Amino acid sequence: MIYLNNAASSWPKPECVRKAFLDYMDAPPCGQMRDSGLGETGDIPDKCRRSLGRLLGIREWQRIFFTSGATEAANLFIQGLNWEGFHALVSQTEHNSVLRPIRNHPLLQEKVTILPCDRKGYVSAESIIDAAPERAVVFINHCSNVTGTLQPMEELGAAAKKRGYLLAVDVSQSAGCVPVEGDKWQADILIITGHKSLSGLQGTGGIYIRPGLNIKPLKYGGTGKDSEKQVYQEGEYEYEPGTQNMAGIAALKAGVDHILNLGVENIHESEQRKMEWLLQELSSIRGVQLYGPGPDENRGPLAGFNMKGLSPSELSYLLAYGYEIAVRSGLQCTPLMHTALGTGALGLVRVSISHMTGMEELMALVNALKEISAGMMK
Amino acid sequence: MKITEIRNSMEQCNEAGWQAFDFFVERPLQEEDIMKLKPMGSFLYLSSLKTPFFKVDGDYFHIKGIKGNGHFRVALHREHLGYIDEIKMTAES
Repeated sequence: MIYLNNAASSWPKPECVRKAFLDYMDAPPCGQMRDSGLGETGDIPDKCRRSLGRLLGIREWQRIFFTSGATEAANLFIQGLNWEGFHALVSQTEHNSVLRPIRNHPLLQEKVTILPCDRKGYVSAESIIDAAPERAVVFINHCSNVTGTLQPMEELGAAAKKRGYLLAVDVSQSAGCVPVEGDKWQADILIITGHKSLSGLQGTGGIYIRPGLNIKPLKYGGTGKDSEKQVYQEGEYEYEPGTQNMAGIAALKAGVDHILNLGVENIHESEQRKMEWLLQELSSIRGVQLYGPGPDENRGPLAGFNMKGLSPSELSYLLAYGYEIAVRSGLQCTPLMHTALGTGALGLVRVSISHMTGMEELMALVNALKEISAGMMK
Repeated sequence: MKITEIRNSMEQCNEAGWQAFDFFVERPLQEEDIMKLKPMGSFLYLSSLKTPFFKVDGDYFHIKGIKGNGHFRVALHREHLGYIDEIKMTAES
């Protein structure tokens, strides 16, 4: 199987991630804040936080908290913020992990404005400046999981701050493959997943919460400290109750350190070259329509396309069962963006690579699509 | 051809209001099996591919599959799931 669905979940994982997971399983377990004399095993979460802070440009790495993924991170923020007086300005490129918690929040029914994107998927700083509300949270998906479009985060962050808005950035699709600079962007919140370009396991992720921002936790429980305290006051909140996914965090740490060793800029440059080659090839195939930024534009390691005469699900089925190539078709859980792209209810086919994807795998995809296109013309 | 099993498909089309099923057959799909489905709707057969692909589109169903595979896939509009029996009957006729 040629796996080109890394934007859903990366595979294969680097050997060091597998090893870290197995090493953790082979040692006696250790919980956070609970010293059981196991030495540095108990430091794994903080070491992972520190590595994540380095990778994501967050000086206050202690404010990165582990979650089961981006969905829980988004919910933690959206359910935990006191929305009194706030509006939500939500980019059209958001994933349902952000859209659904907002759309189902009882206080946000009349307070949601969609920030439109253009046909390439870009959101403009002007749309934030021109937004009406006095107080708002701006939600931006740094890297589109549909087209790979990278938002101009410094500009968007500056626009949000000019209006005094909070800024929540979903870096699920960019963390680990594109430079992320949370502090420079003036992000109040970063939504993080572990199992995509960070090379971690499914069921891992996290959230960065800017110091001073009061977010009520989603969950309460044992944390191994201040056990006599039963009721939390504002500012005292803890976000990691219960036994954490320590094996997953150990694997995530290995993945993040692996990215740091390789250098995220190097990974981005290498993936950018591969994507440019792929998009040039795809654009030369009869019947293929590409969506999002052009081949030579800066992008994340994924692209969306369709082929005339076949629906996205038909093409992905044919690739999977006829050529053993895994891609993703449909709406990619990002329904609003497809309106801007003109891809309607059926969506598109997404191809997504990782730093471990070889050129021969991309060539196999191109050859398959060429054969299918030729077959369509007969 | 004989349908040995109909399973909910891994490809969930629920986002778009459709539901998919995999129809498993007793032997790899032959061209004659594919042709039995042709009259059901708009038909496309890419016979020149190394792995020949076919699809049949009706108003409330889409069928797709590959010659030589042990199953084909049927997507049905959720309000017209009854077509499942008609497709099975046609395939087995």
